[in-house]
Amino acid sequence: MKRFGGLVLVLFLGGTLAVFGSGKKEGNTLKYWMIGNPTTEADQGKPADQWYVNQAVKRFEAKTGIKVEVSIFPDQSAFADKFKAAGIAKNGPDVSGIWGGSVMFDNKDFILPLDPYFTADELSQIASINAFRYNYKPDGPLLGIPNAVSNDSLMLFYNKEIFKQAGISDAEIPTDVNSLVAACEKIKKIGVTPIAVGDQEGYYSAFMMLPLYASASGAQGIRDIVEGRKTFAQDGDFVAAARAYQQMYSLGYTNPDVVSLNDSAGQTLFASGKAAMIVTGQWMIAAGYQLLGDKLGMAKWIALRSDAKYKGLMVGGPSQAVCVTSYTKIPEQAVQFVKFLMSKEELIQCITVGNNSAGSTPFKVVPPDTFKDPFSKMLVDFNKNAPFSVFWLDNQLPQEVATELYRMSPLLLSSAMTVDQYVAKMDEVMKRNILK
Amino acid sequence: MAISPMHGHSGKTRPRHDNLTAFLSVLPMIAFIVAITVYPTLNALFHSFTKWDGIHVEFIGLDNYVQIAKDPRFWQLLLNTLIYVATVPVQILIALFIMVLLYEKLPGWRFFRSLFYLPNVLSPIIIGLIFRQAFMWEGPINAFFKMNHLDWLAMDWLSKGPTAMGVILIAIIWNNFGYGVVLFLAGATMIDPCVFEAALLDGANWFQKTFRIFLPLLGRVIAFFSVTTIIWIFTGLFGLIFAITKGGPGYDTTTLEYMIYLNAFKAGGKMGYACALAVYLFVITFGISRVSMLVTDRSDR
Amino acid sequence: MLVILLTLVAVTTLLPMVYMFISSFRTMSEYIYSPLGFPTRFRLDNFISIASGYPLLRNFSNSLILSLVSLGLSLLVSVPAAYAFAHIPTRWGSIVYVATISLMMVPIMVTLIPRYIIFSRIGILDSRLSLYLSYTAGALPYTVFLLTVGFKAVPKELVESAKIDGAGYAQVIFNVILPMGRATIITACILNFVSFWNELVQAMMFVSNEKLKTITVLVSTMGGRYVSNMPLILTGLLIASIPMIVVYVFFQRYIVEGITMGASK
Repeated sequence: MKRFGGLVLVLFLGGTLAVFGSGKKEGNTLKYWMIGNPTTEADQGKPADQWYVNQAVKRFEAKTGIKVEVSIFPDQSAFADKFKAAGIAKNGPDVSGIWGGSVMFDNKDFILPLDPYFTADELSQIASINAFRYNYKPDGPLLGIPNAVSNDSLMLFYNKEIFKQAGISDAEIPTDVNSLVAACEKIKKIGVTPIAVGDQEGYYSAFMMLPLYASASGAQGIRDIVEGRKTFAQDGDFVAAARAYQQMYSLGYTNPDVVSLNDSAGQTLFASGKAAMIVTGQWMIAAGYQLLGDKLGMAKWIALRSDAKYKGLMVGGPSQAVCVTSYTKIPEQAVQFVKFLMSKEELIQCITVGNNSAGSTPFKVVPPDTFKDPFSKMLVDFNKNAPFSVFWLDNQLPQEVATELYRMSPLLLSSAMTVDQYVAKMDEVMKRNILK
Repeated sequence: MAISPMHGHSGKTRPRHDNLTAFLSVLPMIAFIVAITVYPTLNALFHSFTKWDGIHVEFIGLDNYVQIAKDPRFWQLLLNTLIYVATVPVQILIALFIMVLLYEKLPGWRFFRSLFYLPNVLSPIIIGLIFRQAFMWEGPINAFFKMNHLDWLAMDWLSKGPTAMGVILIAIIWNNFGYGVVLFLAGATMIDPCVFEAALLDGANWFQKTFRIFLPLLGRVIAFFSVTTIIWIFTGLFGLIFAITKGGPGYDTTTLEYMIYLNAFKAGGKMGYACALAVYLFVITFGISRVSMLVTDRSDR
Repeated sequence: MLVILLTLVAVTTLLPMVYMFISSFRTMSEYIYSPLGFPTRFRLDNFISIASGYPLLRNFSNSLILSLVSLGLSLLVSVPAAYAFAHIPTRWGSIVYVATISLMMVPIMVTLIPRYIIFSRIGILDSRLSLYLSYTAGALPYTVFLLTVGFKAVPKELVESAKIDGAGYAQVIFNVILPMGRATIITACILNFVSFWNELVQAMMFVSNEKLKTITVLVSTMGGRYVSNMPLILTGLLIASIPMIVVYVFFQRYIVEGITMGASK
């Protein structure tokens, strides 16, 4: 039995060695953490040395002599936790990607304000830069620079072939609730699911309902609520938007399993041709185009009413930023790296070589014809010609309220809750979290 | 680790030497437990009186507790958990039924016993995902109903609270009944067969045998099963809930324990609030085991 | 009659697993057409996809290393303590013993949050060490309980005579206690191993590094990713369940013993 005890001892020692053996590298390398995208170059089968980020890093090293160590995190939902934990332990990166809105604001203590490093001129070259100022206040500290292709836009995607079969002409592509109802009825008649919704995580209230609200209340409406000047219940447009959202399920315009289907399954439902429409961000283009090809159509999402004040608005904005951590030991080099990624040459490289999911860029210095695929061109047009644009509304909510929004979305949609109950619940959470 | 005894100790120094050896033997265990269990528990207790997001701590006294007690959602969580606990009698009945079948120990009984316990070794997440796949809108359960012209039974089980809960209830029973089988069988075989022979001589039939003899004698084992299962339901259902519904729709299938997870790690760091929830949970489970101990002590005559 | 009933119940019990097994040989289109059917041909496509799509070996070895090291650590700490509780009479012994046992019912969730923050602060959060510590601490009360019961069954006389023969502390343990208490130790090993392997919350929260994920955590991420390809998920579940089924088949005797011992306290 000595052997047994010995075995135990060896196991323990071996384990400890294994743990500490994977030690931390010190030295003057710059650590860069990237959030993986759904359609990363890895997924597309490109070998690592052809990825945009690795090539960019090589160029940076050649130019400045600073070594960069890149870590890519494919699990996006866990990234926020990881960033915070690294902040607490102070063993995180020097430069990092980060989600805007509440994630960024929540981690404010770990992010270095960038105002001292940028001139007003440099900043004016970036659209929607204030989206990354603390609490969206124009005089708040600047916490990050938008990611190169991070200008996300909410769009309505539709299947051109199904529309044709249902007899929906181009003029009848939905622009408000009434025309949406008409189109859905036609699609139902040919036995196809009109709208794909995978609402297990609750994002579709942000995709479908909030923009309806914004089309009537503009950018100010949500600010009034978040800053306590108005409640959800008092805002007739919000209540109307919630009602319209609920009706999409109750009138049978969505797939029956909205509550249990998750977001990516919902996207697959649309991309595989089993549903006629889906409302989500422009990241749908990649998967959609892959499976539907020319059948993929893209349009603006509808307004609440045909005479809505802000009809034609674009919802979206830069959702991801690059930031410098507050505990970095090499702030100068870190900022240098950020500015490198922001330079015109790198931006163009990133767009053409790298991430291929079409998008538009908030950097005005990028020539518009850098985006070669038709959808990107459409997006650029939509954004340029939009009469109004509103930043993602759920990102503007305090985190606890956003969580409640997501959690309650399936209940509202499936009519497990009435609109009044829903609005009351939202107000209850909002009351505790008013932003000053 | 090795401590050589000194030579030639008298009867007097023995106890002191024993004390030292014993102390050093339990020291690693105590160190571990204090550092990694006791300290965090006290830490959680402390933070339950604060507003905490992992970094900033703000003392707010009983606010969390009051807010929780006033929140109707809290009571919904408890209700949910109680509904899950309602599976325990069902599990007991099933396990007893099987135990009776196996009691005669016909050849192959060990094989059957192993079979029934097998679900218990699987990870709850695997079990949960199997059930989730089975009850999904496009899954085999609905297909089965449709094939047999029972279309009205085919629904999205996971999208409405009561039916989603039903799926979880079935998963709980499937996961755990084997534990009951093993336990009851072991308990039953400890009962002296003479008792049965006496009963047979007195003309008892199968029915009477089971209900008037078996059960009371098995009482202690059944109680043990119930208590451990109930505590497991209160504190260990995370894997199943995460796999099947993630607590949804809304909070309809969430337990108190799962809610702690949601609040601490999902809702933007309401960790102080989550700690208060955890304290509530602790008190409840402590209460349950205390009560159970009192009851079993009293019934042990 | 009995056998018929038994078989019926057995079949019902096996249904979910049979469903999982059969579905893994079918393709997505077959499944969509009819979720309940049999495969037309026995294809191994799903298995190949899972094996090539995930670094299975890495996850399996993570689970293995994690479970084994935590197991070793638990034993290292519990054996001396259980020996003391069983064979070294002291005035304070039973108080400490009861206190330790009663920790069995501290819910994991209570300690999860503080452990998370504490581990962040000392920088071991995304490493295996955090799990070794957490798992061992969690297993200690029950392990100490089991081992104490098992060691108590070792006759005092044997221990005494070994001491009289001049055996030191370590020798008593290695030459008397461990051999005699072998069955209990193996039971404790198996039960702990299974519970470590299947553990989800702590593995999920304390380790987010892809390279260190256990197979259980990997399974939890699969549910969200390939939702539409149901046979693929079921294949993943099947592959993930195999290790524990194998362990169970070989060691069920010890598992059963462990459970019954716990009941007859």
